[in-house]
This record gives sequence, C-alpha cells and structure tokens, in this order.
Amino acid sequence: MEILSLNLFIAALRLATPIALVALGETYSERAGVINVGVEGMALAGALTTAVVAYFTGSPTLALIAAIGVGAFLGALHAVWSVYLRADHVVSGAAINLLALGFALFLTRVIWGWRGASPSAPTMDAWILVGVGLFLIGISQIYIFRTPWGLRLRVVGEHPRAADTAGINVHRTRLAYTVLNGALCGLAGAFLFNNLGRFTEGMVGGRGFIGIAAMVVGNYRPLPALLAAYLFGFVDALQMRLQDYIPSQFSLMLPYILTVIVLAGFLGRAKVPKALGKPYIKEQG
Amino acid sequence: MKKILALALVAVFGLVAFGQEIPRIALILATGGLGDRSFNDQSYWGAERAAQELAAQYGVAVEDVLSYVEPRSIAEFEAFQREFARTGEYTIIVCIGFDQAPVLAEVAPDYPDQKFVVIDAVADAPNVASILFNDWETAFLSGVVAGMMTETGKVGVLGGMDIPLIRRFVQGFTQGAMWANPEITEDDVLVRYVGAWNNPILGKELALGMYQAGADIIYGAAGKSHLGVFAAAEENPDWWAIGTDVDQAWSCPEHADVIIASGLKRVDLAVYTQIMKAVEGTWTAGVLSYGMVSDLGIGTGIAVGRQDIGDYISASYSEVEIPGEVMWKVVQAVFGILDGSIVIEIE
Repeated sequence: MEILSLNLFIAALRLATPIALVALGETYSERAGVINVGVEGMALAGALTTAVVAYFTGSPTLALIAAIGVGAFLGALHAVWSVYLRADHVVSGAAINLLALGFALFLTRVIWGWRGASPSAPTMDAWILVGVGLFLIGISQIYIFRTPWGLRLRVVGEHPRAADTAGINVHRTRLAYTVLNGALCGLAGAFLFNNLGRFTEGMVGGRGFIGIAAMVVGNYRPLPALLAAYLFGFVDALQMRLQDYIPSQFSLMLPYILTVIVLAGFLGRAKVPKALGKPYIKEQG
Repeated sequence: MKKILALALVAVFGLVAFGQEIPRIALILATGGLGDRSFNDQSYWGAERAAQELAAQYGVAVEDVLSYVEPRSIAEFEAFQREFARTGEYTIIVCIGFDQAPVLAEVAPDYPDQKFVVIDAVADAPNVASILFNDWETAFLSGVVAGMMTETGKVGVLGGMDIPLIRRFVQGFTQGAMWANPEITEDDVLVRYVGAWNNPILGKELALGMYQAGADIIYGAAGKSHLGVFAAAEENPDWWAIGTDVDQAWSCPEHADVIIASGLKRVDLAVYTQIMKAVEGTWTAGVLSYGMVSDLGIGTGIAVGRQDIGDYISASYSEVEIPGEVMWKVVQAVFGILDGSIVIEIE
C-alpha cells in the first residue's frame, strides 16, 4: 500500500518524540514517588520560553537551555508543593497546567499583542532534539536499572522508610527527579516549538497526558515507554494517511481508541511504585 | 455628613447616567482563539475598529467599550452567552463561529431585549442576526489559483473539521481547481482534516503528508491549525500554500515567501457593520449573507497578485510572482461567478 512508506515512519518518530520525552520524565518522578500531571503545562512553558528567548536573542541554543531551565523550575515548584508541603500531587500538577496556560495567554498578549500565539522565531533543526531524546532514553534505561543511583531512586518510590533508614534523603531525591521531569518536559516543549517555528497555546494539545499514558504502558521503564510513545505517534501518522480511504471522523478517533484499549490492557498489570503519591513523613524521635 | 452623602449620591447617579450612555460590545470568539491570524483575529479586528471609533466618540477607553472572551471548548459558549446577556449592559453580543449557533438559538429567546449576532451559521430567534458568507466563492477562486499554479497536477486542502461549513470550502476549492485546469480530476485534490482548530503541530504533519503524496499547493481552512501548513511549506522550495479569510501573507509576513494567495472572507466588515448598526439603532434581526452573488455585494474575494482588480481581487503581500495568465484566469472566474456562467455546486 502506498501509505506504508518511509515518510510514515519518519512522521511517527516526529510525533512520538514529545510524548516519549514526557514519558521519560514522568518515569523518573513516579519512580521516586511523585505523580506529576503538570507535564502538559511544563511542556507548554518550555515551548513558550523557547519562543520568547529565540525571538529576542535570535539564538535557538540559548532558547533551548532556557526552556529546560523553566521546565526544571516548574518541576521544583511541583516538588515543593507536593513533597515538602504535602499537597495532593494531582491538584498541584493541575494547578501548574492552569498556571502555564494562563501565563502563556498573558505573556503572548503583552509581548506580541496576539493572545495565544507568537510570530516566527529562529529555530534549530528539530531532528537534533529527536536524537538527544533517543540518547537520553537509552542512557536512562541503564541508569535506572543498572546503577546504584537508579536503585536508590527506585527504593525511594517503593519503600521510602527503608531508603531513609539506609541514609538516602527521600525528600531531596524526590525533589531532584521531579526537577528532572520538569526539565525533560521543557525539552519536549522546545522540540514542539522548533518543529513548528512559532508558539501557539494549543501546541502541546494533550501530548503531555499521552506521555503519562505511554509511561504506564511502558510499565515505568524508559525503553518500553519509548515504544509505547512510538506506537501512539505511529497511529496518529497513520490516521492522517488513512483519511484518503475512510471518513476522517473515524480515522481521527483511532489514536484515542488505541489509548483506551492499550491502557485498559496494561493498567492492571503495571507495577506501580508502592509509595506513589504518598507524602513521606520522617518519624520523630 | 450631609455634604458627603450628597456627593456620594451625585457620584452614584453620575456613574449610572454615564454608564447608560456608553455603548458596550461583547465578543465571544470561536474555540480556535485569538492568534490564528485568520478567522478569530479578523473578527476581533472588526470589533476593535468599532470599539475604537465608539471610544473616541464617547471619550472613554477602548476596554470600556469592548469586552471579549475566548472560550476553550464548545461547552463554555452557553455560560458566556448567558453571562453577558444577563447583565443587560451590552448593546450587542457578537458570537463568532458556527458552533455557537445551536446553543444561541436556545439562549437568545430567554433574553428577548438583547441583540445577538452569530457568524457562519443560523440561530433561529427573533433577536439574532445570523451572518453567512458564500465561503465557496472564495474557495473557488483559491482553487483557480491552485489549479493554475500547480506543477505536479495535485493540490490539497487542510480542513479543520469535517463539517458542512468546511466541506463547502473543499467543494468550492475542488471545483475551482478543476475549472482552471482541466487535467485535474477530483482524485487530484487531497483532503485531510485536523479534527481541531488549534493544533498546528498536527496541521503541519498532515500538510507534510499531503506534500509528500505529491500535492504542491495546499489550501488551509483550519484556523490556527493551518499555520502548520505554512511551516511545512517552508521545508521545500517547491511547496506552496494558500491562506484563508485574510491575506495571510500580510498577517504572517514570515511566510510571505510560500503563501501565494489567500481567500478573503471579510468577517471584520460584518462584525463592524453589525456593531455600528446596533449602536445607531438601525440593527435588524434575521439572516444576512455576504458574498459575490448575494444581497450584500462584498464580503468574499481573494488576495492575489500585486494590485487590486475590481471589488473582489485585492493586492496580496505575497512575495511569490503570480504570472499574468493566472491573474487573467482569476478575473475570468470572478466574472463567471458574477454573471452566473459559473455555478458552484455545494451540498
């Protein structure tokens, strides 16, 4: 068939990259015990930051660094709320999503006079970021399962009391990996911006949430999560091409139907970190 | 004490009297939101122009005249419509986009003294002015340009959603391309839908898919989503795009090198006219249609080439050179539509 071309697989990789980056970030933070549903907002903030910095400095590299920094900052914010102040993780994450969106609408209006969009700004080749993403995912698979640091990370999410007894600072570990999650979301946002060359408020468009789904399907492991992300990207790329043969209403449903089916199949089997979403309170005395 | 009370009373009454004088406009945008450099922005410009004139006239700030909201989903339309209507302070409430009509048809009768306008669809209520455009005319003219300019003999349309409004764009465009270029058949016009008005990333992927399938010109009718078409066209010197509603080579100057033309739909003019009529007291409810062959002569057309030709062809900011024969074909199409020798078939 004509639609099964090389371009299809390339398009799928482009569509999968932001999903995979978010999935990787979420893998880290949930392995440490922090649920972060603020990924959507963190990626949006990353994309916006890239646009603003690239627009004013003309340097896509600087913009990339700034996006990762802003993502990390939002990650830290989430960690302070959820880890140190013991706020509900989901509420804190949802607040970040709203904050990022509101801020994006406000900032685009103030800077460019257009609410919700930026003009074009200098970009780097988005494929570089695809490469960076794939590299990070490969490294992470080794880091989490084959290094002592990875073991500490997993213990913090599974049994924080044991980790504490062993001398691991639970709160600081959770903070660090939530910051890393934010940074990876910022990177995902930077990819989205560089792919399009402008910022629009709808550009993340649920890819953050699908990233969380990919992480669940990948069972909290970076490489399987990448495969899941690629599957989502592939179905999205495929549905576009299928529109020539079947009505678009059906074709557009495919990615969502797939998400539901796959999640229903995997959710029960996923090995959720035991201390996920639970605040750790150090025993006194 | 008495003095203070009197002063306070004067202040209050003064404010009330003042408040009644200033006309106020409410604008409820479509879900695509501002920043699409097309449909929504243009609606806003129309309202803004009216608000600026009124603000100058009454000596107040533009913000005192114009209030606007950007609903994020269709579910929010009703709340905003009711919220504005309930205050009774707004001279007119302008609702942008076809998907506001069904809910407006239910909301409007609850506020019989409130004037409403809805763009792109009919809301059947005695206090609503429904504005329609002959979208297929502007789409036909865009199709003529695409049919003449294509080198691969294949063109594409990126639609926001597969709905009657956008299908009329597709039908007009397809017939225009076939009329201008007899070698083009219906199968040479690729049609794909984003399923959203604010997802340019998906829009870009869809456009790349069509370009890679052989189309060299893609017509965007997807709001903010078709900003992705322009980004995709930048990736290959043989790929071109056609914009919608406003001259997008002007509203997106960074893409003036790939946007060869833009179908025009003067939503701004309709919004402005409705507001001014409401303020002046000449407003009437009912269905109004803008277009080349309709009761209100202007409203649709095309931005292409370097100069205005008649009422329906405007100069574009596009950097792409349009050959004279293409312009001539567009002129012929305009005359054909006006004199009825070209009949565009729509469902």
